[in-house]
Amino acid sequence: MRKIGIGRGLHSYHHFSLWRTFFTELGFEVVLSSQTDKEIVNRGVRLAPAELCLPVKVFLGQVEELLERAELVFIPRMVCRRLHRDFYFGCPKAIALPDLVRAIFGSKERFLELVIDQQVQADETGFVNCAQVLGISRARARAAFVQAIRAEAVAEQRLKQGANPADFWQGESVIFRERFEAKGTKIGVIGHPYLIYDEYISLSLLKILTELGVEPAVPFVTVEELEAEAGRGNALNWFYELELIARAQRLIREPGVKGLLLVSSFACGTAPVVNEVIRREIAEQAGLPMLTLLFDEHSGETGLRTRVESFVDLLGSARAKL
Amino acid sequence: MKVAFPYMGDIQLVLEPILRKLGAEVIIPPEPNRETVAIGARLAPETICLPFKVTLGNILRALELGADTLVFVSGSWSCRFGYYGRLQADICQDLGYRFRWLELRRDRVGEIVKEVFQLSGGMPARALVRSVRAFRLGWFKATALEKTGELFRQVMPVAVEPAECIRLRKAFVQEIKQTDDVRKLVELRRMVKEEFSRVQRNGRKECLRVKLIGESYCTIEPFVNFDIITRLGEMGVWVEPFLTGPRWLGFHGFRLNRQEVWQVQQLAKDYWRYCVGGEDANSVGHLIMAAQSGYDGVIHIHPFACMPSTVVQPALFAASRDYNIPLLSISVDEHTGETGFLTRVEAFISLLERRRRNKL
Repeated sequence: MRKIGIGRGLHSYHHFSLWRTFFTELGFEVVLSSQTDKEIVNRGVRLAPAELCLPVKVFLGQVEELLERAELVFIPRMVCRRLHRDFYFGCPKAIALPDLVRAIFGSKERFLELVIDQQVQADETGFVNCAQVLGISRARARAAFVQAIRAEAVAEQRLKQGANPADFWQGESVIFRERFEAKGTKIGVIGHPYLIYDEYISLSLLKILTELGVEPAVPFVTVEELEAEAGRGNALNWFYELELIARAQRLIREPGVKGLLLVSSFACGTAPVVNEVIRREIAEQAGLPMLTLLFDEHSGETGLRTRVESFVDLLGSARAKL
Repeated sequence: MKVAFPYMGDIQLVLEPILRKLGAEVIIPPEPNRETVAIGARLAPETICLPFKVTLGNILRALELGADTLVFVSGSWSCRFGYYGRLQADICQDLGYRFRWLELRRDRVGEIVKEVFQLSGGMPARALVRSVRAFRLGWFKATALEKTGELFRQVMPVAVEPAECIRLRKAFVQEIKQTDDVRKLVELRRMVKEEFSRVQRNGRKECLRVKLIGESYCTIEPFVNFDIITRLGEMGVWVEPFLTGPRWLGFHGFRLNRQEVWQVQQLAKDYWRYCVGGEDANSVGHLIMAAQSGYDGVIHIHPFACMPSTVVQPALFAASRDYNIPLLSISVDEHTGETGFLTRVEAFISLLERRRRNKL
């Protein structure tokens, strides 16, 4: 059985169930990269240009590791999605990912590219084209795609009930499976899933929060909510960032949320714009305190813990005053 | 209506007459300097790219000078450039400035047409005549400027006195700026050729040729790239940018010269399939073109943490390896020091000189 490698990083947190089912249906064995650790980060840092953001560096480290274990490595190209009659784009790094990987590893044959670009084609066409590169017939690819969509719908149901995207990696790694019942104090965590759910990059931020007696609220954003947010008209034209904004909108309405934690990585291109929009148009108007955390490969856990602790203390004292 | 737009190289020499002829009063902020950057950097989000900070400082100066309408070139796409207008307008409003802002983007052409219409007092015939005249003047100014810049870059490295070329260019730009007469501009375009051909040459037949690629603002604005074209020209190196102010306007503003852009992107195809902004595909294509037309090296300048320019770097290096042309990639931000920057560039130039000697 041929092996195809899928990196744990980036958009796998969104679409892993879909991709895994598609390739298993086509008769491939899906190999998942190992969990992020020092080794992977070091590999990525060595390979990537210095100014890239940490999640992409980690992804490159995962790709290098996968090249040792699988014949083919799957690289998605998330260009564009359609929402509410308008187009929403991936960030430049997500769009250029296959080109970046090819340029860095210097090989063209070992990477399998999937193009998601709803400006020019339906998702199904993208998947069928991707399968054709592997020499698989259209009909078979279509059937696999139907199965994959079903699997994704099931996964979505579970995410809505509060599951963690990392739960879908072959049943391991659960950050806070037992829902933490705190005394009603919640902190909304806004950030890309590949950052907040990766325990190594985010230095177990969610765990630290639960240890401090606060419940991290990371609601799942449904397509309907995204549509509604897009319908407001003044949203950003980045797809995955729209999700962050929709999540912020939902968090300020959720009872018990006392503050917002905005998590992004250093040199993340979209963060300065998105953070500014969330701060100005959402957090300040709702009167919620907000803390921005930036992660890079040099972040230390002590510093993070101190900052989060003082933020939680501050929320406590603000409540006592009222 | 007092219109202002961010400063970028010499585009204001072309945009100003166009807007003026359309009937608006144009406020030109002072050239970017240390102070504008400091203001911009203080008010802008911390990790946003340098052009945002410089242009923000710039439009704030324009607002201080009394501008009441701001014009942004924009377009929502994957690059942060599409959000400049929106964020900058928010920041300026927070500071208490009141103004209207016009976004020049494809889906808002109607608004712009309406604006031009109103400027002409609502008379369609007048609006039409005015626009034709305005764009005609803009076109001739742009071509005259282009010719001056082209000859300046070409002659300076082989001139006995580079300072003379600098003086000549300054004089011509001044004249182009002052005249509104199309015939005079045509005349100037001819004179510029004569004047530059009279400059005394130092007899060297060949000089090093370097192509300048990178993000458009960094390529065009001399303040940001430390006027690298003149600096290297003085050292006897011919630096050819892949994009100049008037050409940028022509391409991004009015979508001219699609043929060339298509060709360049076709060349880049092996390395870069999707254009994500920041002149990425153009940079790759021009690097390959430079290698094919015998340039000695390529310098890539981009703002620190510019998304497209960062991801395109490995592709640029791969192409530079495959086509055997040296490449220097430098990122700049508000903390970049001139000396450090120029030292790196000079070291690169000595490398190119040695390479050429060894080849001969």
